[in-house]
Amino acid sequence: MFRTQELEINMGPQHPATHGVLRLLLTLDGETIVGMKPIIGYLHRGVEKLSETRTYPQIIPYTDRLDYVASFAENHSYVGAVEKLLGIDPPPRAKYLRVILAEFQRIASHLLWLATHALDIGAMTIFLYTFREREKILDLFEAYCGARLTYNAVRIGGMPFDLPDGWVDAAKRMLDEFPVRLQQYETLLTNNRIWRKRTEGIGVIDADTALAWGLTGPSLRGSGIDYDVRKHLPYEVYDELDFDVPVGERGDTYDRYLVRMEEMRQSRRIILQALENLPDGDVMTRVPKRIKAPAGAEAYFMTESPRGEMSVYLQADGSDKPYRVRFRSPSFNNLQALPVLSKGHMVADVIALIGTIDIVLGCVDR
Amino acid sequence: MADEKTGTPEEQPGDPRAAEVPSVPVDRLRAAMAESVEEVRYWAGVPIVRVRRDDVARVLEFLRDDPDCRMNHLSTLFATHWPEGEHGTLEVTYCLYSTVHGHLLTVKAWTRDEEPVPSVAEVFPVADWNEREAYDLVGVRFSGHPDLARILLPDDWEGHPLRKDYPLEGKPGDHKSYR
Repeated sequence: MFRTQELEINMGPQHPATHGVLRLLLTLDGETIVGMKPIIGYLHRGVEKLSETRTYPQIIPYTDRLDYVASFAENHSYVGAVEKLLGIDPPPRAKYLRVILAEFQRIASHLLWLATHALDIGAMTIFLYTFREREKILDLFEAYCGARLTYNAVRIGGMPFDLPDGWVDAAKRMLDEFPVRLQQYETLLTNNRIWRKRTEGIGVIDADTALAWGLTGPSLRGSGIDYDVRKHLPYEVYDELDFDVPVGERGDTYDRYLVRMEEMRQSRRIILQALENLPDGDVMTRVPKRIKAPAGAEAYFMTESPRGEMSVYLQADGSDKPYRVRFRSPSFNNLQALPVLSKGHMVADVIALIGTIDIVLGCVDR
Repeated sequence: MADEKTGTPEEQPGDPRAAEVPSVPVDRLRAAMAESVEEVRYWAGVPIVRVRRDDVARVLEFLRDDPDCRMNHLSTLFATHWPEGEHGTLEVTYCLYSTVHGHLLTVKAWTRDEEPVPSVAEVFPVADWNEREAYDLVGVRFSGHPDLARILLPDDWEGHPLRKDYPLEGKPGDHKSYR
């Protein structure tokens, strides 16, 4: 006769909507999720171990490969930790350049998130539009450092290059047309009935639970906490710039979408101010040829990457190589909350939820 | 280069980066749980508190719930292998932040092989995976953890790669072409 039972199935690791090699072991009651166990590690490259065998500057290119769609943020976070460890203060122009590029990186990363998130849910069109704008930002990065994805564009003590001729104008042109583009994306999604049905009330998490599970970045702010490292522990020149931290109210997928859309506007605001106030001068300060940190020194440097709090902990032993490097990756900690978010939802919602926490598996597995 | 007074690997005395900074959580911890605090030092403006290993979960719970501390965000947790360590061979570091008051604090606990550290997964659910990673890569045991399995490496992996004595170029016999 008829009998019902819970079913265990694997989603991934080769699933197009898991944004890489993520495997989810789902326990299903019909189509409802009863349990979920993320299984990770398919992309583990042992970057923390590799870093112990390299000198401080040699590690910077490895950080590119952590979160490969926002590698500037990772470069920045690592270099900031070394500078904090040693007490190096980069020149003001370098700090402004870092802020400008970090915010461009945030827009580029959010555009990629928007494209894939909407694509996963079924809104195909927006993918084509956001990649048009993302392309312009990648062109700006290419003009600055020659690379389009893995930039390796921060140095201990400053920045490797000054801006090339015409870069500021190109950046301003991109930013001038950007609000119109954002408006176009919003007309496609914000009041789209299907989009709202797929995102509203999905993956609701309250602020305290979200923080306890280690959610950071837009995924946390969607629940109404304004924890943004740029405001809470300002680094570089963020305390001199005027910007708002958007927060959500209900903590669902739709609010997290709105938060990221507004963040792109705020990033544009930050870049325009930074371009306006960009000081003259060197982009590199004097640092020793061989960088060494005293034994017993340790530093924790937190930054706000597009995905959340990206931090680096360094422990030194007196040599020119770090004794221990810890990369606190936002994706790793955000992914941990996925079972909490998805409990009681449908299988199809898992796709929306993987999108909403915005993970990059390179950053999860390190 | 162990400092004779404190017994920890220490920077040169008088380094401005090691200067003491005022810290509410350190004061509160010293007042309420003095017996658990073993040492306080500073680097780059952040207090680093070494606590008694068996009290770690209680200390973190106190820091989370105390109204003057409210260290509600466990930013990260990781382990380091110090083969010659003064207080043990494995060091577990907890980085805490308060989104309410803005305090930063680093808490450390030392242990040895086979001597488990109390799990803080009950206090901060985020510690679950981070403790699994510390076990997987460094080999720290955590008592009271819901599921202390390997997380990044395959289940049948042998050894803990982030230990300092882990062979960097394969174990003997791994590569037959090598002599």
